[in-house]
Amino acid sequence: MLNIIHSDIFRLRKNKTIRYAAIGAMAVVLLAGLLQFLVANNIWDMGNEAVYLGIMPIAQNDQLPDNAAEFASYFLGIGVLPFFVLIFIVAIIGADYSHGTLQNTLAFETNRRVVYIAKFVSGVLCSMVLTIACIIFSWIAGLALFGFGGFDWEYFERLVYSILLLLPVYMGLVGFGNCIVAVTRKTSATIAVYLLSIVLLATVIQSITTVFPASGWLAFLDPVTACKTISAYWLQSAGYTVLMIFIWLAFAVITTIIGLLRYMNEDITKTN
Amino acid sequence: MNSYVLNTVGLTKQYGRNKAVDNVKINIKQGEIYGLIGKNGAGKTTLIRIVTALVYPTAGEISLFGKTTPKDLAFARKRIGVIADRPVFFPNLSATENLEYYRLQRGIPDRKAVGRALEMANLADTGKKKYKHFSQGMKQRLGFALAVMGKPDFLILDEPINGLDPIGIMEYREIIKRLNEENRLTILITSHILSELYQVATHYGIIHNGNLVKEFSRAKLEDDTKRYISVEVNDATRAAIILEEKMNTIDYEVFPDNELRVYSPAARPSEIAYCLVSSGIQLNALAETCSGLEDYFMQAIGNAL
Repeated sequence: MLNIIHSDIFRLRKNKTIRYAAIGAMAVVLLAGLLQFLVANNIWDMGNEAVYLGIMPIAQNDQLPDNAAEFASYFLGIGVLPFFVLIFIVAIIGADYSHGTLQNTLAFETNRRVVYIAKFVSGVLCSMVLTIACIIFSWIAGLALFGFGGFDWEYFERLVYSILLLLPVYMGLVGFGNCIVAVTRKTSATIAVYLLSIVLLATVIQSITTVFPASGWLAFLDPVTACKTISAYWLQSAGYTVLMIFIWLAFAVITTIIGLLRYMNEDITKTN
Repeated sequence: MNSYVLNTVGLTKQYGRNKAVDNVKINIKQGEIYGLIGKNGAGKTTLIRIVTALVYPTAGEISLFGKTTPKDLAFARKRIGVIADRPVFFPNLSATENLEYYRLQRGIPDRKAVGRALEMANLADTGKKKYKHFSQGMKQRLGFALAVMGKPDFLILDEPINGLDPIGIMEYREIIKRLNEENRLTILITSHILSELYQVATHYGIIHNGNLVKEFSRAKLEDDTKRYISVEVNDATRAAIILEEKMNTIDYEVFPDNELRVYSPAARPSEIAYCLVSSGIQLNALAETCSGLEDYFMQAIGNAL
């Protein structure tokens, strides 16, 4: 399994799309930082538009970053991370289908369960690495924009916990994406279904929670909301956070099992 | 000790009502170059995909290196090197990067394995050229490089000469023979270009409509497709007697349409012609013929229908 993960990482390092995605992520960090800087210094009064545009995390819409560490944790709440996960899904397991190279892999490593799980781990690992890289970058950018004033270790601790809490969300998203790839066998269909699911899920959940306020916990199922909640997890109760982790882990397990069953029983008959 | 590398019993793959592979029993011994002959759509590729676990059989059993249980088969399959009918790689990577990816994936510790495989496939000088810019022949050769990179014990080549130029085909043939002779590598080659298989294979199997209709050795093929001189005369029976008396020829056959086939290797067409004409036999036609693998293949298919 480690060999497969190692080889996928080797290939991703050569992949231009991944490089562009990383640069894009950094650009988002920089843009968000600059806008927050402008708002914080009353150079540009955006009002509530800052929240609508996702520049300000909902949980902290009345606050602006005090220092680099706080800005870095804000980045997690911007809501772009679920979309970056998709890039890795397409580049890791999707590429095998779109290029037809699945046959090269499965003709050698015939234990398909190992291959599928390895691709799943690679996807989660790469998503985490990109997130950490963005956090480091946002820290550096935040340092230039907001300085280091008022920093204490609690900021750092919160940041580390936030990253760890993202893990089940990433597992759920990668599991879901890999499942779509295994079922549709097409990257174009995967991208469409994945993006539509995120958009539709957010709309449907918002409608339900509006009608039934008691079902507010359903918002966790929306990955964008989940990321925003995680970016300020200390503002929620511990039970709320545990429930969210449980929901995403369960989602990861269910989607991975469905995808795995499809992957394991499929005849590889076509090449490009 | 079981010297069979591949054995199948009752191997069947059914898609709906169509049987792509039907009750196939194939036997490939260690050190053989086994040529699997069949028309397009005969079931060659499906059979290979079943052996390499890309396609699941509907029925039947496979034994690889004497291993039959699923767990043992999974390990045995790692001793196989395969070229698919159309090799596929990552288009934005070079030949070296593509092979390096598979070297890491397969856990081959020797870093020089990539260079050696590329050299063997005559691709060592492709540099940073990306796979998407390769010609069909280069793609085919990269597929071969991947197949031999892990030093397999059993090489499966599905239509390996597709897209190769004549020099490439010649080089390919030499590499296959060398691998077989030097490393006692067992090789299964499929092709619909019979003349190619005729030159490299030591054993053959003919597959038609999913059925393996015949298996035979090269020696048996040579025996069955031996050279003969076909003579068309006005009286074939009398001509045969004359040849027996004057040329001591006993290896012949008389056909009803006054055709006489002389199989004797020493017989020369000019001598036969002189002998018959000088004895008053009217000679209508004379030709030296060698029925090759094509005729044998057509006959085997004909019998199977």
